[in-house]
Amino acid sequence: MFGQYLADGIILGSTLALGAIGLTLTYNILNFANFAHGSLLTWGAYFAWIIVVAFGGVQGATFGPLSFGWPLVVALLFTAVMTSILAIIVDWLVFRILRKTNIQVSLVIASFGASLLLRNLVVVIFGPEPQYYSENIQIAREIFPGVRVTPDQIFVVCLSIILVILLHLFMTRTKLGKAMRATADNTSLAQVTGININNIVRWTWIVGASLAAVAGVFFGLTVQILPEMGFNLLLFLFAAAILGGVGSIYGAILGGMVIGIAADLSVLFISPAYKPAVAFTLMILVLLIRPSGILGEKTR
Amino acid sequence: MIGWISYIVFFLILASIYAIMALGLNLQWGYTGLFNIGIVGFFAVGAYTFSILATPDQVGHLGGYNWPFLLALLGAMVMSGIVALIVGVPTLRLRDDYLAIATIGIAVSIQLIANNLSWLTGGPQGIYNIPQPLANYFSSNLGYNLFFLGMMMFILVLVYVGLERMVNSPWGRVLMAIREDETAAGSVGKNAFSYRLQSFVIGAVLMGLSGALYASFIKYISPTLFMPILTFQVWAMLIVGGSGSNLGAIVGAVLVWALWTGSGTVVQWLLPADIQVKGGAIQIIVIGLVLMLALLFRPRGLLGERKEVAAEETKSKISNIQ
Amino acid sequence: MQKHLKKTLVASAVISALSFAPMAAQACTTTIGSVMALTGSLGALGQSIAKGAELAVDTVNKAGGVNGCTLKMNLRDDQTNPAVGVAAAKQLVDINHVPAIVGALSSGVSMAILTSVTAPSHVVQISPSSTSPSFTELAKEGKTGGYWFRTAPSDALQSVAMAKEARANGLKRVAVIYVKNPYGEGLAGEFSSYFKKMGGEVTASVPYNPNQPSYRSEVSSALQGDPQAVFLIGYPGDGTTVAREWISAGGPQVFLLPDGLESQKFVNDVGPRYMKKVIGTAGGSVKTPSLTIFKNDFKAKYGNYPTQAYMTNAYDAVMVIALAMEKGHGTSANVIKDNIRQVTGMAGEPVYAGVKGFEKAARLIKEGKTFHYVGATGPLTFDKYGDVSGPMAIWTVKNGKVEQTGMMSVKEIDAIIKKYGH
Repeated sequence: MFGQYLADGIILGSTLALGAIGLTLTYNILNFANFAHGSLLTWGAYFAWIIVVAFGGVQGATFGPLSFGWPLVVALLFTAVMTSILAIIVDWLVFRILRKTNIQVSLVIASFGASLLLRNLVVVIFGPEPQYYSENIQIAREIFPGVRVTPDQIFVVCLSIILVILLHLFMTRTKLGKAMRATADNTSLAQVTGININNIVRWTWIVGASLAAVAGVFFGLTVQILPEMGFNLLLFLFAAAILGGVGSIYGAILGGMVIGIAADLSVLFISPAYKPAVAFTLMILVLLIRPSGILGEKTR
Repeated sequence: MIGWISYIVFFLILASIYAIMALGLNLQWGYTGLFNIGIVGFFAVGAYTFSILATPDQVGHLGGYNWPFLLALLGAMVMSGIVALIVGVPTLRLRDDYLAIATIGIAVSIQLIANNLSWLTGGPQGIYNIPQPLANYFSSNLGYNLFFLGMMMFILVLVYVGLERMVNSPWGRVLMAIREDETAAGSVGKNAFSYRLQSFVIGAVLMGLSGALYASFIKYISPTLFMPILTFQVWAMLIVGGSGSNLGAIVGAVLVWALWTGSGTVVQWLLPADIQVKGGAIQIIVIGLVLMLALLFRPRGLLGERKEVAAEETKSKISNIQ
Repeated sequence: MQKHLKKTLVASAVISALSFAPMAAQACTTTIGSVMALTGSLGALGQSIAKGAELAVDTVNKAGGVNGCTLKMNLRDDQTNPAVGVAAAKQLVDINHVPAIVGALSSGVSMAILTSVTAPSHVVQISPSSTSPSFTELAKEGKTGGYWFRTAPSDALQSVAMAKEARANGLKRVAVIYVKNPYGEGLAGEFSSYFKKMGGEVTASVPYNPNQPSYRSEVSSALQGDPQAVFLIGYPGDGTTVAREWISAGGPQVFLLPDGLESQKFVNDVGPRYMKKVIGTAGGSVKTPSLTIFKNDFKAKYGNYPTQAYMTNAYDAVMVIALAMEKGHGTSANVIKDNIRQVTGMAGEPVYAGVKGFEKAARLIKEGKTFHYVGATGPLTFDKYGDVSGPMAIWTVKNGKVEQTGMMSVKEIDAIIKKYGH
């Protein structure tokens, strides 16, 4: 059973990793724990769902063994754009103003208010029932002895890896990426060197929201779309971001994987009812040994 | 008219239960800068401890000790304090925002234990038959609730006066000094960690007290109550009321609880009958909106202006962005 | 400081004035209350259940209202949160002066409302879906004052029916996956004990927490022990996720499903083609016209009929309240409480659901004749603890549609309980 639980963990972990990257970026550059991040995942999944439904569902031509075809690819691009716009609007209306007041906790509580609002807007617009991109369920195939996964799950893991590599290139090779890292490290210094902070803030939201949207779509693809989905994932995302060390993109990936795998493997030892507690216990244990997370920099 | 009085009494009892939690949080956050978002965990510990100690014989879970009300209340406070001590010793050394996620993780874990450790907590079935103090001496429901409200007011005043004295004592000044600059406070020989721990434990004891009072008033608890949303209600109360002000915590509790429970009436009143089932979602949208507007217009809360707010300590890196 | 305080007080006065403004009074209206989960973890289920209750209000009004007055239902959301539910119920009782409350859905919220609002205020409470055994215990201790009723069948009745049907279909090895709440825990426990006594084997009994991102590992552990079928206890939403992950993981496509999952939406979302065999149970009866009437009326009012659990239970709860008020020629809580058993049970002429049913009941009352209401969930008999007993319907999925195929009478179920003891 070990192999199966490990595979389950990796699949959940790659969704968590993408979500956690966005969280860790906004956390680090904008300096507040954004509880509305989960709602960006949810909206991302629903934006994509609109496109998929507009194309008449993903039943049409599909890519080989996968459950979807071109509509979902279009949907991925569309949702990245729409979710980014949504994030920037929320930032402009609420967070931008609160940032000026310099009270971090107001931002956190406001983000919680925003998450309540965004989540229930989904309920009003799309209804409370779960939705699916495809009515087909893929039957898992045995890829190793005792390990069964579906083609979609493999796709999700692979595309997550590709996105992470692209993000790595963006952050290390482009001027914008470098400026974002510099801002995260030291805002005042970055400002002195002539970096346009407003631009950085905008791009932070774009990158974070796009990744959240993709994570939402992946989650919808492997599980389901639900108004509560982002909120249900949020605590795991926080655990992943902090476990890995806030501000570290690689830490977020590692954190997502560790949380996903540990939660699923824990079923070998204790009742699955305690699964969420495992993620948090692990996070606290790691923090006790490394107070700034596995890959985090010392900030205190 | 009697209905209105009855409802307002009921409302104020619940609001003051929340107010005690908000006061506990104010000590932790407003005066010490401890970012605790696991309030509901300590609330749960208090509620369950009280229920286990105070209930008469019951099957299905630990209990049947039949302790008198005040003793059980004390037991609940002690137990919350012990849990806070166990939680606080390792986690209070963490960064503020890490402490936040650690505490919410602990609160989620406590909820899971409540839901799954049936021999202790009754599991999903919860604990019923929780006794109320002096319930036999009252014949009418309103009469009893009036008595309960009187008791709540007494406890609230006691907690308020106690906290005001504490924060204005040398002890409280050390707390605020640590909040503003831990290194400086440490250099004049104050053990910052010990003070933070004391504040954390006392705040948690108040949250436990609040849980015990809730259990006694509602007479039934079950794991569905102890969700993270409760923590955010309390935070919203403190931030809207004004962090760093004990009076603000109380005012905030009344206002936010009025918003949370009263918005349902307004929504129901305004919505046409055929989309009433959407009323719940619209109500929460209204709550989220009002919460954000309150923060936008008064980011320091209603009464939080005079005293400096703790958040200054964690300077927002890009506060001056336009 | 002073100034702020003043402002605060003014603000709070404005808010309270806004929040507690009573419904505009109309000539001759009888208002009952309802507290249901319209958001939160049971929100998806709750919105349809509330429609079931509102349909009953419509039906009563089309039949001339209660005692000639328009019936109104003041519906509140409890956000699946006991503290919010309690506050909503208290508002309904104190400010809107409702004599009866339909709700809540989850046992945790229903119990909190019962112990702190309805029982002490002497207001009738009928839940369409709370199945926790604690309510019976509380009633036995006399703490509900007789004001508590529920229209959902107890876990024991349903688990007996399910165990019997599973054995009758030749199933011997069954895995149980259940939601960790009073409903799931009760049903899983009772089912396991009866199924074992009938010679079956429960290969794994795996609880799951609601609102988790994924249930793959729960499914993986339930698959150990090579079961022939899965008894999945939950609600659409999380339950759908579990079912899809079960199929995806290669589990046998044989499903035992309780009333919580008697839902067309659930079957559609999982995909009928992946459900080779479905054995379902739910409170109800195929032998009465009430269910058909309910379905047709529902379609007429809302445009479509989503087969889903507890909608009929909520409908019956409202109908029973209205009939009791009509029968007792009053609208007080005590009239309702004392007359509920006069309009249910088995005595006298049967009265079915729908406008005609209510009209017939009103006529029989005028003529002084006895009757009993046969609800959309089947005939209802409330015992002295407020628990309902009635037949269990057996359902399955045929050509992609949820369909009731048979039933098990109260007598049959009682015989089984006696035989295997408890």
